[in-house]
Amino acid sequence: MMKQVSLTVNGEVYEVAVEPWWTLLEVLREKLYLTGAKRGCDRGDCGACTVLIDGKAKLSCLTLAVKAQGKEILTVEGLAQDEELHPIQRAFVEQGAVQCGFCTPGMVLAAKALLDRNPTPSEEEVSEGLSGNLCRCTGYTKIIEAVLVASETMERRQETAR
Amino acid sequence: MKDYSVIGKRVVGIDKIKKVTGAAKFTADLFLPGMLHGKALRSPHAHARIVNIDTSQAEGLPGVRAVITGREIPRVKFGLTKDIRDQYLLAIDKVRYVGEEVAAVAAIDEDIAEEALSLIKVEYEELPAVFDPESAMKEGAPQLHDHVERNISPQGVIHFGDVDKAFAECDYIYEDRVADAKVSHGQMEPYAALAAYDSASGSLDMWAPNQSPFTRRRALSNVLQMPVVKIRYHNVHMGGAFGGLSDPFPAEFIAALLSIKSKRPVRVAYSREETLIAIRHWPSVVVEMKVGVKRDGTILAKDCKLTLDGGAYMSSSGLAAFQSYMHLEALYRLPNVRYEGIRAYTNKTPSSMHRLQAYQLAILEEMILERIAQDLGLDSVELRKQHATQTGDILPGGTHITSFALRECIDKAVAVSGWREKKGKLLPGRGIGIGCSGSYTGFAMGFRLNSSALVKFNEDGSCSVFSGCMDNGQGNESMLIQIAAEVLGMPMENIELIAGDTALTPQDPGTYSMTAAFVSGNAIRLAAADAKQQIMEIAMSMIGVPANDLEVKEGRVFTKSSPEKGIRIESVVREAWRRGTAVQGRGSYTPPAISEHGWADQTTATRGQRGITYTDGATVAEVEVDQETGVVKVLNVWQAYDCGFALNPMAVEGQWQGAAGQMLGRTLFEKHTWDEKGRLITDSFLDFRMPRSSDIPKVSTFIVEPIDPRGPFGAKEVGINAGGGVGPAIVNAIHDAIGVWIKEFPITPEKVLAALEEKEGGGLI
Repeated sequence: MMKQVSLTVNGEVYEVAVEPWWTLLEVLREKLYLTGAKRGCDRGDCGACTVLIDGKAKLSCLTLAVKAQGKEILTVEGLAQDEELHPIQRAFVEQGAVQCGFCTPGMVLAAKALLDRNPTPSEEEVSEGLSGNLCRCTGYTKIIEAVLVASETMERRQETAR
Repeated sequence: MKDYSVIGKRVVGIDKIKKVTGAAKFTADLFLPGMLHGKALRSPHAHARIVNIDTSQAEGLPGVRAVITGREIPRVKFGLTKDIRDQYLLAIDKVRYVGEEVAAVAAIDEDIAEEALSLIKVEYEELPAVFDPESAMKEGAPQLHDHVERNISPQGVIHFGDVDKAFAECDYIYEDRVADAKVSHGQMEPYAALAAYDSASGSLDMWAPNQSPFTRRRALSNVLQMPVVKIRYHNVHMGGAFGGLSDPFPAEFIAALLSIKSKRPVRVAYSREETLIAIRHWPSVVVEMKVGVKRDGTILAKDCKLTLDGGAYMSSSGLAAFQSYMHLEALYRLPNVRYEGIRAYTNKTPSSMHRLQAYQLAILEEMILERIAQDLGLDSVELRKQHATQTGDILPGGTHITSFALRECIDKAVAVSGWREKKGKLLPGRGIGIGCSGSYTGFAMGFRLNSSALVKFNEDGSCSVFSGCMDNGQGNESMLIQIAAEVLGMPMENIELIAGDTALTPQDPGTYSMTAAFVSGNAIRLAAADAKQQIMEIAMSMIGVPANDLEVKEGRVFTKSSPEKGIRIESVVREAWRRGTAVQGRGSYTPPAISEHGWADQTTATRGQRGITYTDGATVAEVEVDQETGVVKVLNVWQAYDCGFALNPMAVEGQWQGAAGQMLGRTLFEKHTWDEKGRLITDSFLDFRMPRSSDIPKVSTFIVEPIDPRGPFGAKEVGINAGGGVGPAIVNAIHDAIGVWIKEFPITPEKVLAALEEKEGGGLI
């Protein structure tokens, strides 16, 4: 039996009727038309469905939509602020870390969660930290470089802000 | 090196912002009004006759709008080319692998579609099945296809020179063999297709990830018996191909048929399970090689046999069985060469090509080279350089090598990796190895090897370029705009690309055999040059200066002698219209010399240019082997490859690093496993283990750029040879580390430990 839920996604509140067994991924994509999060495997093996829930990286294919009520959900569509790319997005673009782009939304959010937790990671920490997100096109080298560049940019901004 | 404005620069791809903001739409992200969801029912048997299908209960389920089975479809087979059509879009009489599509349903949502599938009753008569080439080729083995004896198709021997005579003249003969496992290409995007049939006009719109929309359209036209002009494949973002999306799949036929029957758009989105089971696999092979060498290290002959597991249908695996020959004859000078390729049908997922088909042959060849060097007391790097093919060489079959740089690649890889300082000198368990590989660009595809392009100008001086070339994610769209921008002297932002749409764009080969840069790039270059010529001729009469004194740059046409004397392009464009003409550039390119050959010639000793041009490269890998657990860790990879002129170094690096990851995965981790009934056990990313970021070290890439005389700006290809030397380098590095040759892949810890045990126990190295 359909349940009425209230989902807060990228700062906006959506009222939507869902079946209790629907995943957050399905609801984001099929009901809210936020197709940035991808259905790469639907079983939590690939990370393409990664979203941030209350700041933590979560696999939306393993999250029930009804359980996501009352939380702050961030998808890739909510990263850029007023036409300006987030430093992580900008670094991905400029460092050549995006090829086919299918893994990119999940990868970018996983990177954000990593940098929010650890603003100055080592190369190895980035490599380990992103190991939940599969990519077949890039071999990860430029992705790791992009995350390190983004961390430098974000650190510099923090310093300027101080 | 010429100074270009945009060619040769690290250009940010035009599609990357869309991808990084989630705005780029892939097939499963598309919605059409009234769209239904389609799902396929799959065979649980590896080989069976279909006796009866009862869909009545499924049809009666509320929410189901259409059900189809093989009974309703025309009895027309499809395949990559005319000669190799062996598959029905929905199984009609027989199923030949577990997972083959047998029926399909379109419903208002996926849940109902799944439920409907469970209500379809199929009666099968199970048949005996075969799961490996050896069993499949035995006398009396179950036959998969009526027209194919002993399940062998194709088989051929290519022989140039006289291998047996040469062997007689050699001082030593080396023989060895490698074998590997079937794997998936592993595109991150699960397969999907969207079809929208309009019964009023009889036209069908299609979206699906593909390597050539024209190949797909033709196949649909043949099987659905609809004219080509009534079918349109739209351009769509896609999540990687790697050679695995070369032919049409049942998914799009199913979507089309369901749409025709239900009169609604239908989207079929495969799950990851279905994508791993039912699209294509990269074939497994057994390669055996005999190499004849003289005491001084001169290699006189190679005799090679490659047996390939083709799966249940041909796809491009017939060609795959012979692509390794292209590498064998091209990489090292070889006056006498014999190659036998055999492909066998088996009751498993159909196989299709993946990037460098010669991956396993390269491993074997490089392993034998190391063995020869070791036994004869020679430097294996010098041995490679001594035999390396060079620009200007003519290959055994008559192919002319217009540019090659293997020696330079070897020198570079050896220098940056410290190979000489490390080989044989690292701590126990650590090793360094080198491996080389090479590939062709463009092989015979008949008329399909043509790419044509158009350029039209707008009233504000901007332009649109039209190319049938697809972008699988490697950056082809940016590359085409980059080429047009360079020729026309315009910023890339002023150029719009319309690509890969059968209604809007001209013919293109598709991204097979890496023709995107060489063929599609040349077509765009010619079309842009044609437009530029038209602009100059009209401007000539407007400014009153001869055309050859004019230059086109930054949106202006001006005289070379006094640049301030000129007019803006838009003035020329508008003047053209006033005169009753229009600035519309046309370009068309078919590589010379091989267009008359067909696919089948690849399996024979046909003389002539086998590939348009060839690339090559050297890889060095450093590994650490844990002798207690058998785990191999790759510490470092250096790749020095030749791509001709690098149109966009950032894109080139990305391709080589990505391929290195795939080849590393294949060498160390990836393997598909079936149970005794032919069911795929490794049907998830948990079991089919592709490398993660923590598995791949930093891959350093170095671009070697011999300028090809025919490539656009001297460019050749980037994506096929990519990563080709990684497998050989890892295998050789493992030998350097622990003194064992491992000849079956993937190199799992179990295999390493078994090899070490055998070595301890006195087994031969």
